[in-house]
Order: sequence, then structure tokens, then C-alpha cells
Amino acid sequence: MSRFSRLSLSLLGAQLLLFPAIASAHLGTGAVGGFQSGFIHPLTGLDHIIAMVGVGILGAFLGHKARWTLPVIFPLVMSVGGVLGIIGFPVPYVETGIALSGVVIGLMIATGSKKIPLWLAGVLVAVFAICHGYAHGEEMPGAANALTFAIGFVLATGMLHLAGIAIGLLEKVRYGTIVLRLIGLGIAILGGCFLFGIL
Amino acid sequence: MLILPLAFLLALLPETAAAHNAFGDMGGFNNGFLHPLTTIQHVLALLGLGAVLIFNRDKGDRALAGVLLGFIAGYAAAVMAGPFGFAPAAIAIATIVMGLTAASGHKLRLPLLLALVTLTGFSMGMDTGDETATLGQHSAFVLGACISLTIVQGYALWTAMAVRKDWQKIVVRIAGSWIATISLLYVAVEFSAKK
Repeated sequence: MSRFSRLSLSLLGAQLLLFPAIASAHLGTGAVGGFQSGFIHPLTGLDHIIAMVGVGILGAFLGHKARWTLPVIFPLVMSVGGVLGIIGFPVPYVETGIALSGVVIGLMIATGSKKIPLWLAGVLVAVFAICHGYAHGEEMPGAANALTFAIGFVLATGMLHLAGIAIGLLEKVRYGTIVLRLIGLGIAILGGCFLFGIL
Repeated sequence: MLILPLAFLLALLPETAAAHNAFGDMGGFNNGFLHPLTTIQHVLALLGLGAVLIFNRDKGDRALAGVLLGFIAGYAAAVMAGPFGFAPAAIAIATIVMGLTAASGHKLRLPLLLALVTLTGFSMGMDTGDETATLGQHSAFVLGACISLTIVQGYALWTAMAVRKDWQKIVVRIAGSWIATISLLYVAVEFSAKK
């Protein structure tokens, strides 16, 4: 290697040392940090994920109005739970409610019954939404930008519902109902594991 | 031998000057024009307003033009009357009402629609009033913002006319619930932070 190339390599090496490294250990702050924190928040807990996807599947499974009513009810009521969590209003048995949401929603799908009244499904989903919202509200980081955090949080939650609705559309294909009922059973079992502290 | 030019190229990589506002000195009109489009709260309120208009598009051209005028009038009145100091909360509350109305999918009576839209315009104007008081750019800023808002509302009305299928209305209702949820959480976080 010529002396000139060695000098070039040394210069390049010195410059690379000047590039800043991102400290990944901390929650982001500001607008972008808030969005990132909010978007990731609902995706980091399996108990939340199965319930959100379960709501979407249940809506699609029950069909007609339930397909959109449940995904509309859930975020709205969840925000009420979120407000309770943020202001620190005591709500008992939140974690039990979250675990139960997986069990109940999973079993509702697993039974394969389409005769569940919409009002009953709506009330159950609303009660569970309070628990999920409360847990998220309580854990909301103070450093993040409130508005962008909320946008990221709601978008991620909504996308989990939409994913559930998309999975629920399997009902229209052959053996799809069986697959959905098995998925419902899986959600119920996972919920049970959270309920009894196995997970 | 390619390493040396590469080293120089790396040295020339630009860095963003993050210390300054992106459009700080471009003049009052530009600031005003961009203000409703670059402030997240305003964008959310405008989305909520558009969603409400979708369910009320059968009110007729004159009525909808009146609603649009009411919005702009409310906006301009608040800018002139300000600063108020509690604008973010006012916009968020207006956005919650808009989102809930859209999520319900109900048609509103014309006087109620007009009042709701005008109050939303007023709440957005309160925020702009605070902004212009800080910047010292009044007339040009308001003119730019009003033109920008008229274009956005015109676009919202045009979009509203295009939404006809049931699934599109369902998407709008779900979006309305998201808009209300975001604003409610925002209000809660803001108020709890101030406590």
C-alpha cells in the first residue's frame, strides 16, 4: 500500500470516529420521540396485542355492524381509561381485567357463536378497554411530546384492530371458521396464562 | 486511490441546522399560510372537521358555503380578539367534539353544524392569535392562514362529495374515533403535566 493510500485510510478512519452514535437506551423526546414511544407502546405487551387483535377478529366474526362498532368503541373508551390512568384515579383489578379480556374475547371467538348480541359484545369490549387504557395511561412517559405520543399510540392500537379484522376475513374462505376458532382458543389460552401468572 | 475523494465527500456531508425554525424569516404571509398545515393540532382539527362534513354533505351548496364562511369568520375573529393563552386545550376540546360527531356518523341540524364549525374555527384562531402576538406579524399572517384554510376546507368538501360507499363511511367513522381518542389523551397528558 502506498504512503498516499495509508494517509487516506487514516483520514477516513479519523472521520468515522467523529460520527455521532445514537444512545438507544433512552426513550425519545420531542415530537418524533413522542410518536416513536407512543407507536411502540401498545406493541410491547403480548397481553395487549392479543386483546386488540382479538377485538378486530371478534368484530369481523360477528359481522355486520360489529365489524366497525367494536373498533370504534374500543379506542374511545380506552382513552377514558387512559385519562383515569394519567390523572392517577384508582381503578382496581386492572391487570386482572387485561388478562380476562384475552380469555373472554378468545372464548367468544372460539365458541363460534354469532348470536352474541352486539350490545353485550360492546359492553364487554368497553369494560376491557378501560383496563387496557388505564394501564397505558399509567405508564405514559412524561418526557415524550403528548400529542405525537397519543397519535402514535392510537395509530398502533388501531392497526392491531385492523390486523384483527383482516384475520377475521378468513371466515369467508373454506375452513376459515375453524382456523378462526382455533385462533380464538389460542387467544383464550394465552389470556389464561397471563391470568394465572404463567406468562 | 478512491479513498481520498471518498474521505473528502464524507467531510462535505451536510448537517441540518436544527436550532432555527424552518420558516422563521420568510415573512408573515408564508408563516400564516403554513401555520394550519404544519401545526399537528390544527391538522387534527381540520381532519375532524372534514370527517364531520362528510356526513353532512347533503345540506346543499349554499349551506356548506355558509358553514365554510362561518369557520373562516370564527377563525379571523379569534385572531383579532386574542391572545387568549389556553388555545391548545380549546382546539383539543373542539377536536374531541368533532371526532365524536364523526364517529357517531350522525347528521347534524344546520344551525348546530354551523355553531360547531364556527367554534372550531374560533379555537384554531385562538392559537393563531397567540402565535401572531409572539411573532408580531398580524395582517399578512392572518391573510395567509385564511387563504390556506379556505383551500383546505374546499378540498375537504370536495373529498366529502366523493365519499359515497358504505365502507368509506365506516373508515371515516373509525378515523373519527381515533381523532377523538388522540385529542382526549392529549388533553389528559397536558393537564396532568400542569398539575
